[in-house]
Amino acid sequence: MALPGEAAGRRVWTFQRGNALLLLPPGLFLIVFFFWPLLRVVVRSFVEPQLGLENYATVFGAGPYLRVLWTTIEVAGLVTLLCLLLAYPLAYFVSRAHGRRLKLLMIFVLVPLWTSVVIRSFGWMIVFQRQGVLNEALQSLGLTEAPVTFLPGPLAVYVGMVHIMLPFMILPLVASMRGIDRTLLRAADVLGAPPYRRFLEVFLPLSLPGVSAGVALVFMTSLGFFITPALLGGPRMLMAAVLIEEKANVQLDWGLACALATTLLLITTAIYLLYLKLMRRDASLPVR
Amino acid sequence: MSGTLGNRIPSYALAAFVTLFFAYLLLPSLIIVPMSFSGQSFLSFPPSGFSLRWYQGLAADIVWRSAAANSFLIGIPAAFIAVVLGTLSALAVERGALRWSMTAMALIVAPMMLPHVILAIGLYPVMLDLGLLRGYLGVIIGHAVVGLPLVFVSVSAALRSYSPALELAAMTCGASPLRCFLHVTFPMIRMGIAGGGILAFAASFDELMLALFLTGTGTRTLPRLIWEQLNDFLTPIVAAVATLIFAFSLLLLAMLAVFGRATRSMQASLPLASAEASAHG
Amino acid sequence: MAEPRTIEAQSGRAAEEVERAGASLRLEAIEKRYGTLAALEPTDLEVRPGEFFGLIGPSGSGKSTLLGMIAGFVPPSGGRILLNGADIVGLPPYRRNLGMVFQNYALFPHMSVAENIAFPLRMRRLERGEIEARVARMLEIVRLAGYAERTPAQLSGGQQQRVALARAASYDPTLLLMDEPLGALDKNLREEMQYEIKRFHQAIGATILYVTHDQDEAATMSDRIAILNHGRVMQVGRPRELYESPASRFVASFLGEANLFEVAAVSQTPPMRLRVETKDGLTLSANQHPQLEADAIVCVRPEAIQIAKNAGAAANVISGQVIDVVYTAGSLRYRVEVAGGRIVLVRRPLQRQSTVIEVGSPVYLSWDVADTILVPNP
Repeated sequence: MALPGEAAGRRVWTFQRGNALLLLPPGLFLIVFFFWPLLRVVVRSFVEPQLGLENYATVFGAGPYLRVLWTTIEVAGLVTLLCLLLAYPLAYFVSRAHGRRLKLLMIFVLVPLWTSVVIRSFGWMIVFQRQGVLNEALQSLGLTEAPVTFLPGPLAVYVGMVHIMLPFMILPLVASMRGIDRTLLRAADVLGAPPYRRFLEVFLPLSLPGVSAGVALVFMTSLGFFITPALLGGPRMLMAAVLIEEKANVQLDWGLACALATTLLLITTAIYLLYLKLMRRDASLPVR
Repeated sequence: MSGTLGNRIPSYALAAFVTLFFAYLLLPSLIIVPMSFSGQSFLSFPPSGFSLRWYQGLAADIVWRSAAANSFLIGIPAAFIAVVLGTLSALAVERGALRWSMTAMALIVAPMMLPHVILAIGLYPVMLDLGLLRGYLGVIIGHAVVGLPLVFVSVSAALRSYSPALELAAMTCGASPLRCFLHVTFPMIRMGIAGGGILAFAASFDELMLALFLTGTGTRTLPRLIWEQLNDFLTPIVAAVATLIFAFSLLLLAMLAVFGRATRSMQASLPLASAEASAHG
Repeated sequence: MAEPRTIEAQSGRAAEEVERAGASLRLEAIEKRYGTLAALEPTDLEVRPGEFFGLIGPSGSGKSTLLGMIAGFVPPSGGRILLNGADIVGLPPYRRNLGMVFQNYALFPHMSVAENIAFPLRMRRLERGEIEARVARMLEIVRLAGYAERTPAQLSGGQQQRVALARAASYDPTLLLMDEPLGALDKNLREEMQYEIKRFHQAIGATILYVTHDQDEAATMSDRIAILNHGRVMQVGRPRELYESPASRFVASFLGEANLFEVAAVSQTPPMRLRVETKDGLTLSANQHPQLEADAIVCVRPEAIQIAKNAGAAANVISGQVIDVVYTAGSLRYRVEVAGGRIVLVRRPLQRQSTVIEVGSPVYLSWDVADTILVPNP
């Protein structure tokens, strides 16, 4: 095991070198069952049904596909914005809690996270359907006469998606807000800053790493949404993942499905790289 | 200590906001529970009557029972593979002094971040070539790919929580690498491994997209069966299944809380969040 | 004390001929490079059996790299490490049979104190009875007899340190490496532990290689010291030798406080004296220096300087004005401005009857001819 020797270039066993070898099995596994499949998707988008850029001409040409990509980005963007607006004050509230109260609040955040997404979308169907919770409430309050059709529609999709993505925004925000040194706020007090300026000039800038991490994470994952738009969205809210699944699984148009997937892969990878860059700059955040 | 916003915004307004917020967060999970005890055979609100017939129907239905069994038959081995490979990769990245450790980390975590639909249409032809399509092994491997990063993140956090000097100390004490792992590293990270395993199992248990592409009628999982039912007809039987799954995931969450101490559960929840999120894809 | 048995090294290399007194360690042209960056230039060093050898230097000087190579964590880029005459470079750390104490103790938190100390013995597959006896003996030596069942977290910093010592020495290694073992302790405890470690050294008799960045600690404890800077050994010697005849400007200023003067010219004055003119315009008198090259600096230790209101008859007398006086535990530190605006530091032990010279007073600084230390400045 230990290689004695004097010559330059000898490889002596060390703890680090031994550990580095452990990367081989998971590395091979991921190469065969993750990177190779991704590569096949990319290759297939150029060769099926015949070699060329035909699939991309279809995706980016006139037709519904480009619109679906835009819808996907638009929905993901709006979901991200809504999540940020809702999560920021809540994260602030959670970050100030201590002990049991903090635990309880975290449980409230975590429980929905733990509930199956299929099941939560089902829950929203019960809320938004014609004889659903929302329509019953509106009618009993006398706000509407007849049941309103929410399903399928954008309201249900946004409510459902924001619901799913909120914890991803709250958790990095809480992590970064809890990392803010409270004495800095006290220092701002002592130096005579009124509360709103203390917030704008001290607290907000210090919480920005959490904001950027949350925004990147939420936007990236929203791009790949499938269950919620498929169940609650209908044709007007058609998103990329839904379209890809349909092209491949139902219409068996694999070339086009792969071209769409490659496009989605590129966008997601770009945001993932951005996210990693943000993480690297702020190592205090929980996910690296 | 005075709060930053607290002394400008009345506390009851903040409290009201927080309450509404949590009502929103919990609503879709909790709304299912009363529906599952409905006496009617369609899903209207409020449910009228009380009956256990949907649960009875569920227990009698071979299709639901085999889907539930499939979910475990796929989830447990997938979690096991993810635990072994995820732990190895965490050890290599955290303790291997790799030259490109940040890149390695980014690549290992990538399956958690990419939309599952891309992986699914990529794995489909691979599994077809290997003859694993619609069998158990194909979807087990697919779910292991998705679970691996969860174990990696969880075990990495455990490894970062103590100094690598412990392992060096064990070695100067005369422990070979294997005994060093058994006596020092493993006892230090076993909670991280268990936590990661639960996360990986939960991810598999909830995964739909890979199941849609890689399972067949014999290997159909619960999420896939629910999905098919939701697209066809809505009956309270789905609510009964959903309630049971909801209860089961709360059990998993409680287990995770036991394995990861209070501080760590917060960290562990974020990778989970990512996995869940990608589960829509 | 009963004659302790030596343990067979796990590698199968018989350990019985190794003397109980401690191992000899020889480094021959050992070096470490990361690409083009040299963490340690080729270094030769000899540590004698049973010696307490200090290794000091600022952070980044290569002392930790050196220790890591001896322990087997860092593969050297070249050279040999001879432990009792045998090259250990190819051996993994777990076969080197040496003990190590880490900066933050590196006690296993999931094991009790006794289990920690027993760990290396279990790794060597000793019999249970033997393990128990040795653990009891080690606990005795570090005076923690009643603490066997505690976990490390239940101990104070000093106690944890003692457990780490006991664990590192429980299998009678002939060489103990200590990597800033007192770095995490506060000042008072650190001084107490210095005596504890010296006592421990006498009790176990192993050779100790002790890394620290604290020069006082190294000087207090070590038989000999090597000073490292920029991956190079600057000087090796007894603490007093290093203090009294530093071989370089770095050593003079790193070990203790020093007033350094750049030398402009040196001329012979009988009998056997040197007349030294400094660049500040001072004229000093020094003893003949055997190997003085052209370039040199003068080092005068603050505690060697007398301060008085009137000139005495010493070999070196310069006048100046007190610009600052500070009381620090047990001594007075003066800052005196002398010719050319140069500030000279003076430290006088404070006795009850000693009078403090006030700021602004004109004073004479004087010191013996032997206290004008000439230091080569290549």
